[in-house]
Amino acid sequence: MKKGLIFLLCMLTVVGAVFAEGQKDDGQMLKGNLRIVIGSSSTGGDTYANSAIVAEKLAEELGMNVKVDATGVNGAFDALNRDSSGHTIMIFHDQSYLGYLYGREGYVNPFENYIIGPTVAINPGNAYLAPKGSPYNTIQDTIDAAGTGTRVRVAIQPGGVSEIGFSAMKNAVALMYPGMEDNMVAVNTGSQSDKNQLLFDGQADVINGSIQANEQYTHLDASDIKSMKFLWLTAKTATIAQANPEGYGETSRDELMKFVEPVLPNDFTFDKEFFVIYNKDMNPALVKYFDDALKNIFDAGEIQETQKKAFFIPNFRPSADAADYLESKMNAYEKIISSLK
Amino acid sequence: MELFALITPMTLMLSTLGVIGGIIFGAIPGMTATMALAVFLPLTYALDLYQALALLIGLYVGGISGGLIPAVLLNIPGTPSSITTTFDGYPMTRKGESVRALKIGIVSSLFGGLISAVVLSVFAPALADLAIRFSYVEKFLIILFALTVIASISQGSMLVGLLSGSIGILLSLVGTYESNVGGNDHTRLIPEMLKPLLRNGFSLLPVLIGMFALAAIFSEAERGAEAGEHQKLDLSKSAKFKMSVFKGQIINVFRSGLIGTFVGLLPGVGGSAASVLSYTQAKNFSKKPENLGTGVPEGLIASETANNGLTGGALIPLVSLGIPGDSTTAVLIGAFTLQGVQLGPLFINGNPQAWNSMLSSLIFSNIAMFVLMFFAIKYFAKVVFVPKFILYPIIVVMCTVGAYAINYGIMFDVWTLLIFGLVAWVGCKIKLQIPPLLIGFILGRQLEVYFVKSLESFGTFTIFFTKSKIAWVLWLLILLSIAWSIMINYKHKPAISKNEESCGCEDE
Amino acid sequence: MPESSDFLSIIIDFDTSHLFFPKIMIGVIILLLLIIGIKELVTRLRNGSLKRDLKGFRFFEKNYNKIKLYGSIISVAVYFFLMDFVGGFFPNQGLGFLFTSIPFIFVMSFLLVGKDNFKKHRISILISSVVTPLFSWILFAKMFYITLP
Repeated sequence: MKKGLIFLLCMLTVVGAVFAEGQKDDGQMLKGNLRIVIGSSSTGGDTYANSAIVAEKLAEELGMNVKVDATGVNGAFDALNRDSSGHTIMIFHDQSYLGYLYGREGYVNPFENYIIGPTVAINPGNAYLAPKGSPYNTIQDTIDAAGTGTRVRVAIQPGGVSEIGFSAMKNAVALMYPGMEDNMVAVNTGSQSDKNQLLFDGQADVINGSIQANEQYTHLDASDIKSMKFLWLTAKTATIAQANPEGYGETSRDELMKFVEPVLPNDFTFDKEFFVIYNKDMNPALVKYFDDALKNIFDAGEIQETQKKAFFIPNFRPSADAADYLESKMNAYEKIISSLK
Repeated sequence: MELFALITPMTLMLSTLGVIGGIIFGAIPGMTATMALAVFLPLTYALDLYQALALLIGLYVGGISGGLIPAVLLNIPGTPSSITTTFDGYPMTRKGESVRALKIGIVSSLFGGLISAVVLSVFAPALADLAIRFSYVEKFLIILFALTVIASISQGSMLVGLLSGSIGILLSLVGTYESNVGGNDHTRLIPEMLKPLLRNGFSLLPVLIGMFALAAIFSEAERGAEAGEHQKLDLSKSAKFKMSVFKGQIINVFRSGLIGTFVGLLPGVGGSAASVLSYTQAKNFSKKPENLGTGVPEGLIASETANNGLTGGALIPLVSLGIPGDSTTAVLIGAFTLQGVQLGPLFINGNPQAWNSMLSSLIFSNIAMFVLMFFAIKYFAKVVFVPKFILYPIIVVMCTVGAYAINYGIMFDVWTLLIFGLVAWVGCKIKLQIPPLLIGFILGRQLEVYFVKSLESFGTFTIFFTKSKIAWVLWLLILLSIAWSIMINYKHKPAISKNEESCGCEDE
Repeated sequence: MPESSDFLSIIIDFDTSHLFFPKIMIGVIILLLLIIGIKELVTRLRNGSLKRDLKGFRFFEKNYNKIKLYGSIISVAVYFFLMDFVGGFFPNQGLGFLFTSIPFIFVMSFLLVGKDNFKKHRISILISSVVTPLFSWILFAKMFYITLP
């Protein structure tokens, strides 16, 4: 018995010594494992892909193990709330404040409750599509149709990134055809597969989608029930202009540009931007530490290639700039959303 | 042949490695194929697309197959889709036929995998067009069809079985009606103060292994954790595995493999429905339906063939619609994204090489799985003889790892394990039936979404009958399945009431 | 046809749709409970066994092993609690898991094997309680980078 206990203690000491705080002190502010929690529970989605690219580079730059955990929104905020040591950080996108603006359960104002870290990339893919045989060819067509009394059904996932473009469409109807905005109807659904399905079933006239998920459908023959066409890409012209000239799939950048920034009365655009979020009580020196690390990574220029290959637009902004920028972005969208309430 | 032109020693090695990793993840209760892929995904950044696919598909096949090991040996489903494997697999172990049961399971898995690979390679685009004809209404009916299994696995009172199933469904609804499946993101069935904990509801895997593993451990402890009868049996004297067991099961094998493939190809319907559905059908078509659940190869074959049949099926919407067929193939999308390869209706024709390498990896992984598992069985099977006082604490620790990791580090999932361990332990005492409850839990959320969304978009209950011809066929199948279960139940009442005392989660 | 579809028509408000199905299920459960309750009561009353069955209901097994039962439930609960607590001191290293699993396996094995038999099996218990957590920690936390408490 005694021998066993001694053996046990020895093992523990050895393990502790070997693995626990592993590295020597060489001026690193953080040691051990860095955990990046993300606001998506899917390891197949854009948030994961983007975070994985950042994590790989951060691991090299900081000399730490970096692990991306797809905990989902609530799990991510919970994990972040529990650890202010900087060993847990979060990467998410505009959903973090849009969820708050749309009043979804579980969301708080991120600018008040967290430290906003640097932005890292844009996913320029957010799109609205219609069947190839649809009478609507531009987003203006749908606004005019709704404005002149036709019900236009738009399949979206409510309460965030997928709804914001729809809110802008509805707002545009209200501005151009006051009182007619209720003809722009949201068909609330979930995943991309559900949205596509509603289009195939004739239960929706327009769907929210993305360049990445739907581009191939736009090359199908019009006789195919699955065929679609882009009506609108919500990204800024300047954003798409940074993409590789080959564009995406079989659609070149120039072709994509045709669907960008239609003249809407509210001048609305939406770039889905990924940024880092920290615990409110994290040491401010760590904010700078991560800022510097990411700046070095982006200065080296390699990460941009990887991002572009996966159709992300590189977009580094240090923490303070990012917070100002994103907050004014939130305020602009708040106007549109509250005008529809 | 073009198909095999892409096979290199490197891809073979990665496939094999993937299969081994997958088997480990599948065999540990609470760890799934999905997790295996998620864990290995970062490793694939350094590989090219074909190598990445070889590794990931190997993990997928290994992960799905590995689940049968704890299901058969310990009565703990390693993955949700092996829940029906426990129904006949574990009784065989208790008869001392663990090795035979494992071998039957492995051969069935191989058949299932190969059937689905063939279907995938030949019919993928056509089946994708079929899949998109299943809207909310038809998917609701598929889930309802799978739920008819509750009628057929109810032991003793069918009413109590239905009650247990309904409780399972209600428990699955706890938490948020999530917007990513079509809900409105409001929470229900939870008191205000528990919201932070219960917002995401109870996760499937912790519930499943809590109810199987922890409950069994508690009721064993209650009985003193003495060595079980089957732990003293001499394996060498028990029935040997022979291929002839598959004689007369050919129809079962094909039916189950195709059911698995078919369920896999419906996005969102998910893996567990496949084996459940196929088990019900095996029971409905069986010549001796009363024997299913007592340890006959028939049920084991149905379950295992279907859940490997799933693999090829779930790849169909992936390669022909760009949409994952289940949660595991969703991770594969991540691999494609990072490699800059686009999935969608043009994928197969646009990327013949990637397509071929997927097919050849799928076939090779199934063969590798078979070879590896078949020869390793001798060692796995020894687990049965590990004394309970050593085995149980290890199981708890492994379940804990699985539960904590399933949603990438949520402590509440670990507590769920204990909560549902106690729920099942108490449930048994008050004669609730645990397997129907679990099946209700597994399918509950999908049942809700498809039901509510159908009504929301069509505004009438008649839509379930008038939507399409597919709906009629499904109704016919549902009614037949129910009628059949009632008839079997009625006919064999005396035989079944003997088992009334056992309630599914008990060990001896 | 029109009449019947009017009768069966229904409007679901999206904002309250999260309550629609749970209400149905609660209804179904209450209904089933009533049917089962009445059915059982009627059979019992008919053959006059109600009193006996009520008295005869035993929650625990005959001569159930209190120490093993409560001991294992409590040790699992304490294990979960401490794991999270200890893990808080070593963010994202999985050491909470490692440091609490070792005593947990030891205690639980001790409980299950019983005091009398412990001596005979102490070596294997000790080995298992050290090797299992260590092995799983190295495999999962160190090799696969799975986040552990």
